[in-house]
Order: sequence, then structure tokens, then C-alpha cells
Amino acid sequence: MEQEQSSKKRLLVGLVILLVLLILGGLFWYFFGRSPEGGREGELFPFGTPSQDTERTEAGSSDTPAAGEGQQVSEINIEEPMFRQLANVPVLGAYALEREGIEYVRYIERETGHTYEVNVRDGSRKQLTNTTISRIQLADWAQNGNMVVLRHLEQDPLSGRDIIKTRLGRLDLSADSSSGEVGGMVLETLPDDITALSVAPDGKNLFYLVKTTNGVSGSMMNFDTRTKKRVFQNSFSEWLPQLLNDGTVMLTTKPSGKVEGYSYHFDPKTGNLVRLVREKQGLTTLGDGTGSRVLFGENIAKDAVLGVYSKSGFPADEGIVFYEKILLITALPEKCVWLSDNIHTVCGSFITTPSGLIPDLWYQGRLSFADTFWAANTDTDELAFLVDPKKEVGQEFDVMNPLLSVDQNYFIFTNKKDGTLWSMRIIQKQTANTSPVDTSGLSPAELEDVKGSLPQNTKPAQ
Amino acid sequence: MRSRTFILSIICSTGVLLFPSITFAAIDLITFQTTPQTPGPNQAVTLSLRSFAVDLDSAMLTWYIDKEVLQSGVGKKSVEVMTKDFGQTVTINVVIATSLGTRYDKQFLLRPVEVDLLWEADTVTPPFYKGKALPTYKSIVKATAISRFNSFTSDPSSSFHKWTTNYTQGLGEGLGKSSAIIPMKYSGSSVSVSVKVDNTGAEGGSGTATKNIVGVDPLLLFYEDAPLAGIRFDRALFGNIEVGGTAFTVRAAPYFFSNDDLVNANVIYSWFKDNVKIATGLDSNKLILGKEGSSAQSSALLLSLKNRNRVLQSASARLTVSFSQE
Repeated sequence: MEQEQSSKKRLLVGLVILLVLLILGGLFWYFFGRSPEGGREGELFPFGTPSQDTERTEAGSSDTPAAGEGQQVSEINIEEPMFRQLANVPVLGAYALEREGIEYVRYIERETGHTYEVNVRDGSRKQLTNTTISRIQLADWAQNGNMVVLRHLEQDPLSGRDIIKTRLGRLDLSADSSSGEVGGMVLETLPDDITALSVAPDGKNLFYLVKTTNGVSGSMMNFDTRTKKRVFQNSFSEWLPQLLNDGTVMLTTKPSGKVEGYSYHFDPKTGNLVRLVREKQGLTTLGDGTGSRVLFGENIAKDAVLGVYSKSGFPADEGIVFYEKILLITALPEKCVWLSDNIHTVCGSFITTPSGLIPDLWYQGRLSFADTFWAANTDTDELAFLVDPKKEVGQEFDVMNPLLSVDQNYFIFTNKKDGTLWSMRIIQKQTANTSPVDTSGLSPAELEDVKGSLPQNTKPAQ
Repeated sequence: MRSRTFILSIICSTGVLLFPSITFAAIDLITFQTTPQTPGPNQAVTLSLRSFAVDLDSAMLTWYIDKEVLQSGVGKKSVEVMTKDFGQTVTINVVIATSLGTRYDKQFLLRPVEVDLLWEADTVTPPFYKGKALPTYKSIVKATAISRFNSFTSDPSSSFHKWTTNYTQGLGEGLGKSSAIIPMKYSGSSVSVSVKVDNTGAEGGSGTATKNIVGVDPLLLFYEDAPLAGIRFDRALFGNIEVGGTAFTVRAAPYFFSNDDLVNANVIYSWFKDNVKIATGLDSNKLILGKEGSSAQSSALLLSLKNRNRVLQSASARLTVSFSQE
């Protein structure tokens, strides 16, 4: 009897142990082994890496494979090339717009001044204007891509001095495009010798600087009304401005690799000039749309380091607040773009800092980079390697004048090596099979968690 | 007569005895020192006491910050405090009890001060160049002080500025004198410039800033001047380059020569093609090369720039342009 009870006890204990092991095993599988439906695990933030299933195509291909039957095609076809050459001639200035859900980029052909619009998805191109303006040096788009600020040089016949001429070009697209007619550009003159200018991200206003006898004066111009108002004067004249949508201006001193630079935030309404970043060698900056965060480049021990400044600070342990921190990639802010959340950035980054003064050598055209592409989360400092174009498409890029498409799915840039215009597809979280994702069985919290990674055309299961 | 002499000697003796006391009375026996000298807002500052007349090492010092005791102890001559935002003051009081039984009360008002010293050289760079114009031999540099005394903006006309170079040589001073001109020396040598800014407004306060400015050599670069695209400033030309077509224009771009000398034609351009000096006409900063026939040709160019006013400002560059065979 006692023996029987003892063996029953042992069996019971064994069953309990087995049950515990099963539960533990299940929990382990649930938290560490399961791949969530519709995405890749381990993703730190919106960007992934090129899928191994992605068909590698040569850059410039405009073929878009048709969707299979019964398969919903996401707005970003996974077989779309990573890189697409949007213009195979040197361009000046690019502007991203969206129309009827399609992403376009407008640009100016450098040699002719003609403007074009290209479909980012399939590379199809349409000429917008045929007004020939040659020898343009710089172009800045405004007013939703309907205006452009053009700068070129003219030689003074008496002194031989180069005068900077600035003109405002308004695209006249009233021609009947269905019959193949092309529009023109109407030009207005702006003041001579504008040393630096900036168009607000919303394209509504222009801020420009002109040297005076005692320093520099800064004026604001509204593109709609063309009213100009002097809002800034300073004894120091070597500023690079960045106009923000709220009418304030970030002013950064012109950089040289071994000279300490400063960056300020100027409010024309109050006259306040608040210092943001101080005494950084080789300082270059890129503010987000609101000026609350600033990417800055700095030379530290011969390395071009990328950092970020925050007006509100980055909280650390024990209540300490830091206002600046370093991101572990080498890049210049002008090779980066901010996403609309003002947290994430995408950059063309050089792996190692070349010898010599940065950014001087790059500005002088004596140095060219071969960039790889990275994304950074300025909240968490996490970095994601996106792609090496040399390995992906056998091409080297020296990223210049970058911008994002309106839907933020494309990183658009000019290749400084030859002036051509390119787009890079930013991989988002999604599966190759874009059929509806079954979210049944997920708790509300889990559903909330995976919502951001669902493809746009995915509907939760009823 | 004797009485007058006696009275005079009494007066003189009194003066001699009192003079040191009067002199010492005019000197602050104990002074404050901050590190950094001009702390900005929300910044850690070390505040120290100094004295050549009072033995602070053996004195009992009690520090109060905004009326609350921060620290107390013998010989505690320094504390670390944080400045607040612009517009806010930190009040520090120190009670000093010496070993001899003498008591001193000192107060220090800590307000954020920012004095930034920016400088720019009056030297040439190509149009649209985003980099800084650097100073060269005997070029002129203008330094500008941007200061803020306990507010987000300060009117420079309400501050007294005192400028010095190399720590001792005055560069001028005055109310509202927010800029100073500094003559540079040789390439590679450093010139220091300092400014002390005293705010004469209600807020008071003062701050200083110092910068060392290093001279460099001028630079000369070549760029293509394309007929339709214009000057390609984004790609400098050097070494051997191969070009197509029948004409190629080389544009010379000097960097960091003094602006006034370029305007006054003191900078002399000397072009050489295949070691032979050539004339370029009115436009001395560009050279048009033409191809003769259809066979491949190359030209070795040398350009030398010399500033006859500032003789150590000079630069040269070489380029070989090869037309390909058609």
C-alpha cells in the first residue's frame, strides 16, 4: 500500500515537473522564438535592411513587375530597384511633390535651365518649361515647386568683378500639356550680391543676407506678396542661414576645419539671438523643421563626427540633462535629412574621415566621398545601416542636397561626382507577400504594437 | 614760524600714517573668481575666494546659496554651483570668520553671461563658397563680440568693450565698440585677441572671451568654366585631365588673398603654357585652350599669383589638359 502511494507520488511530481517545463518552454518560445506576423523581429525603428529576397536590379531600371493574381501590391513594390537615376545630366536643386498619390521630383537641368518632373516610382519624365537659362550655379525651389530662386554670376564690365545675380523664376505651366506643349519660366530680379539665402521648408518665405559696410543685413521676403523686410543686422557677416517655417532663422558661422564655429537661433519678432551650439571645430548644422533639434558636424581629433543638439535636452540618469550628444557615424549634416517626426534622420555617411581639413576640402571640390547610407534615431542613438551602393549597384555616390519624397519612402539626392539626380528607396517594414495580415488572436495591446509595421493596404482581420 | 612748521609736520605725519589705511580701504581684501570666467545659462561654475591680505586657509567659511547653507568648513575656499536661465540670478553669500576673530561678509550675484568672439578675415573666396575665408600674411581680420547679459539679447551699445591682442596690446575700447580690427602676421603664426565686455545696464556683469587666430597660406585652384553649365566649383582640377571637344576654359580661383589687393589689381597673374609665358587679355583669371586638328594634344599649364602689396601672399598651381583624339 505504502509502495503504491509512493510511486503515485513520484508520478505526480514527475507530471508537475513536466508541466512546468512545458510552460517555461512555451514562454521562452513566445518571447524569444516567435516571429511576429507581417514584419522582421529585432527592428529598432522604421528602417530595415535590404531583403535577401529583393531582386537586385541595375540602377536606372524603370521596369515594374506586375502584381501576381490574388496578391495585393503594396505601394512600395519589393522588386523596385533600390537606386534609380532620376536624371542622367547634371541638375540643380530638386523638389519633391506628391500628386494623386504618386511621388514626383522637379529639377532644373544645369546646362539649359529647363525644368522637368520625374516620377520617382517608374522614372518617367516630363518637361515642364523650355525657357533656356544657362550658367545657373544654384537653384532653390519654393511655393510647392512652382517657383525657384536661381543664382548665377555676371562679370562687371568695368571692374571685372563677379557679381552674384539672383532671380526668382515662376513656372508658367498654363500651356496645354496634353498636346505636348511645354511651359516657360517668368523671371524677376532680386538684389545683387546675395551672399547666402534660405527658403523655408513650406516654401512660403525667403531669407537672404547681403553684405553692408559694417557687416551684414538679413531680409525676409514672402513669395506670395513679394514684400521684403529687413529683419537682421550684425557686425559679423559670415553666416549660413536656415529659415524655419515659423519665421525664425538658424544662423551658423561659415565653417573651416580647425576654426571654432557657433550656431544661433534668431527670432525676428523679438530680436533674440540665442546660442544653440558653441565652439565646435568645423561646425556645420542642419536643424529639423522646428529648430528644436540640430544635427551638427564637428571635427574631433581629425574625425568628422556627427552630433545632435536638443533645445529641451536629453534626459540622463539621476535627473541630469544633456543638451548635446554624439552619434556614432561620420557624416556631414548637409548629407542628411530629418524625417517629419524630427527624431529620425537618414544620411549619406563616409566610413572614415579622410586626411585634410573637412569640410573645407569638400567645399573646394578637392575631395569626393563614396557614401554609404545610414539611418539614426536621435532619441535612442540607435543606428541602422541601410545600404552600400557600391555593393548594391556598383556605383559610388557623393551625396549632396538630399531631400525626402513626400511619403518619406525615397531619399533623393544629387551625386556631387557628376551632378546627376538619384533616388534611393528607403526600405520600410513589410513582407514580400503583401496579402492581408491575420491579426486575429492578438490582444489589443499586441494589435497596437504591430499596427505601425502593417503594410498600408493591410486591413486587420474582422 | 615755528608753530607753522610744527603744524605742518603734524599734518604730514598724519598723512603718512593714514595713507596706507586709505589705500587699503579702497582695495577689496577678498575677491571672487569664477571658472569658467563667463558661464552661460544652466552651466556648472566653480566659485572661489582669493585674498592676499586675509588668511582664508585657516578661516571658517560658510557658503549660502539663495539663503540656504551650501557648505561650511575651515579653508573651504571654493564651491560648485549651477547658473540658472537667462533672467535669473543665483545669490551666493559667504561669511568668513578668520582665526583672529575678524568677520567678513561677501556676496556674489551669479548671472549667466555669454560672450562669443567671432572673427572673419577680409580675404577672397570664390562666389558661393560655403567655407570660411581664412587669414593670411598681413591680411585684415575683424573680430566681433556677441554678448548676452542675463537676457536673450543684449544691445552692444550698452556695453563697454575693451579689446587687446597678444594679451597686452590695445586694439581700442569704448561703449558699443563690439568689433575690432586685427592685423595678422605670418602664415602658421597665431595672433590672440581678447575682449572684455562690461554691461553698463541695470543687469550689470562682465565677461571676457579670447581666441587664437592662425594664419594660413593662400591657395590657388583651377575649375572648368563650361560654356553652358558655368564654372564647376564643385570639382577642382589638378594633375592630368582629359577633355573632349575643341575648346576648354580653365578658370583660376584664388583663395585667401586680401580682398583689397585683388580689387586694386595688386595681385599679378602669370600664366605659363608649356613653360612659355602667355598673355590672357583683360580676363586674367581664365585661360581658353583650343585644339588644333583632330589629333590628341596636351598643354601643361602653370599659373603663379603674387601680391605685390603683401609680398608673402603668393600661390601657384599646375594642370595638364589633354584633348583626346577625335
